[in-house]
Amino acid sequence: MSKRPKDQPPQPGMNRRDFLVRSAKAGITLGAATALACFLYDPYGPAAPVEKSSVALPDFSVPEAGKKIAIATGDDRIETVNAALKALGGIERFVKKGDRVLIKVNAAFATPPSLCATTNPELLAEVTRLCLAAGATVVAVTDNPINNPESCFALTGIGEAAQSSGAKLILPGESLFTNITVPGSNLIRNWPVLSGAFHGATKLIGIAPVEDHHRSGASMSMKNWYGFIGGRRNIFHQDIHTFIKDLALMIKPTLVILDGTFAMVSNGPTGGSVSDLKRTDTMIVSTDQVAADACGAALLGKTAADLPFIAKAEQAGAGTSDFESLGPFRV
Amino acid sequence: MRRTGVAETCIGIFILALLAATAGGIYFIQSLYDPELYRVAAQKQEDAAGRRNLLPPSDTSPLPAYLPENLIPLGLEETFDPETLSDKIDGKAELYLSSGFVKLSTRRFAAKADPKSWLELFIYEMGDPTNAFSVYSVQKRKDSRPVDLGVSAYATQDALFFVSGPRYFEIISASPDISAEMTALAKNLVKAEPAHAGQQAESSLFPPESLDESSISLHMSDVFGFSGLDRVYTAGYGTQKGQVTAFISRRKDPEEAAGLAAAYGRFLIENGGTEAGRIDDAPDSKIYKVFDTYEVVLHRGQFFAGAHEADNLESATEIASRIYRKLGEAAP
Repeated sequence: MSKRPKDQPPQPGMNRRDFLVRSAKAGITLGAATALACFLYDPYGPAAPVEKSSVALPDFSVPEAGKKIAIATGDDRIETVNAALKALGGIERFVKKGDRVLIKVNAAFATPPSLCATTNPELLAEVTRLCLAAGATVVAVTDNPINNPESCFALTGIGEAAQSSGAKLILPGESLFTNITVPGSNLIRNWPVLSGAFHGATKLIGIAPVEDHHRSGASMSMKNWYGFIGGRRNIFHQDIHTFIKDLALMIKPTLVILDGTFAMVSNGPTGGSVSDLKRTDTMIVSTDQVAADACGAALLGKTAADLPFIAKAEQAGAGTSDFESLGPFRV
Repeated sequence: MRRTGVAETCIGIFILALLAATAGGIYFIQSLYDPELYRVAAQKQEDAAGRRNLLPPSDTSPLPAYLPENLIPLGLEETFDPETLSDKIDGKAELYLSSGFVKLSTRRFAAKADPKSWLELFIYEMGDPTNAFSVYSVQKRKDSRPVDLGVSAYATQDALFFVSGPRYFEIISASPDISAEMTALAKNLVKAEPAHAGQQAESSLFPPESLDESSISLHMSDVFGFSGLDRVYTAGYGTQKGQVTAFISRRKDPEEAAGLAAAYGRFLIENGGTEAGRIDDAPDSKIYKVFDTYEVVLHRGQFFAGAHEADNLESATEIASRIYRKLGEAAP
């Protein structure tokens, strides 16, 4: 074996031995890299999105008021809503001085008030007035409509009614939505909800019309909370009864006001003509949203058993479908 | 073995260190991966895609040719496809989607004399005249009155509904003051449509005596609660003996019509019905008593037909017999 001087510069070219040694090193390197890659490879990808906010929205109910329902009959919404509230002990029982009240209307469609597909503006104005008279410092009105929000609030008359009665209108801007997961919910999991509208609110009142609904059979108090949902929410129509139950779990209102002065008995929820309406002259006010809807079903010629979401909401603990058990105040 | 030079070694070490740093960086970033960030981005893209359909055409778009002189546009046209239809009509979208819906165009117009009086026009493209007639007929309002537009049409106190070829139209007004403009708009729309031959052949097979023509409807699926029953025309009859709903459906061939009659009969029995004989002059018929009502199911040629939920046996058999004879004339 020949010895090379220590400081001898590298020789050009490569002999057979060098080639074999270097090939072996390259092979070992490639093998090690491949083994490392195999070790780090995750065939299942990242885990499901982390549920950042698996928390409930605030509970707006008034426990000391208990579970109650009032059913007022008459053709004048102003009179019937006042009569129903009086039967429950007055608005002061629910709205105290300094409260900040959020009113969730149904402004889903940019249609005229005459079609009764949306919350009646005169009823909204009266409820706003009552809340302010009871000492509320702020009354805010909101919805995330199906159609363009500005058009909906303008053409339904809700925007003008809110402003003229002293309520603040909250438009569903993108920044107001955050992803939440409703405890116990099947479908509202890590989904955008209009939670920004709740900031600072101490009481929540839902005001909804009574409507036939092609998919769910009816749209009343519980379905009204659909307007708090963002994103491509139409996918929930595939399992609408479970979804309405989830909405009832998400929202614990102070009161729901179900306006059955007219009921949209056909072609709902949009209707399209006053011919779709039936005069039913009923105003239902309740602290139990399930009871309110069970009572409202009759205005559509249905029973609670015809609307599976009512039984689902009851089983989930959102209220009772046996509204008679609450001892309704009939006025 | 050939020895490497100092410079060569340094470059090699540098490259290896760079690769190691890159690998470490990837590992570190990966540990911070938040799928939600990507989900939100995807959601925004979806929303943007969804809202694209809502974008109106430019302000310079010409006025529609069908617009009467006494109306002015109140906003721009919006269009919706099957993906976005529910953005406009929410839960009622299912009705259209199950009937071949293609596109919806909507636009609001106001009276030139009083811009506070406005209406909204809905034009549903349903793919073919049968689909369009179906969505028109199943939504028909009970207290409506017929309107002479030269096509199937009716009006209510505040709206006008009609069908022309593959399109179904709704004109919904915000006040009754605008009804004249509504009618003018409807006439222009019908005029602008290409002529369509009478498409509803089955509807002419209902015997005319005591028929309520305005009640003729086309049901596309799950008819009478039976999932196997589709494309069925129904019509109301008010006989002296009672109210009856008659039905006719043209099937692919006589075998399919006979098979459907048998399947529907089984469905009635499974749901509490009992056989109650047949009509003497209609050999391919069966009578069923379902609780307090009577049902007659028959087939003749490629037609499946009968009477549904009749108040009494006499009215059910009378109407079914007349239909059976009429079908004989159509398909002897």
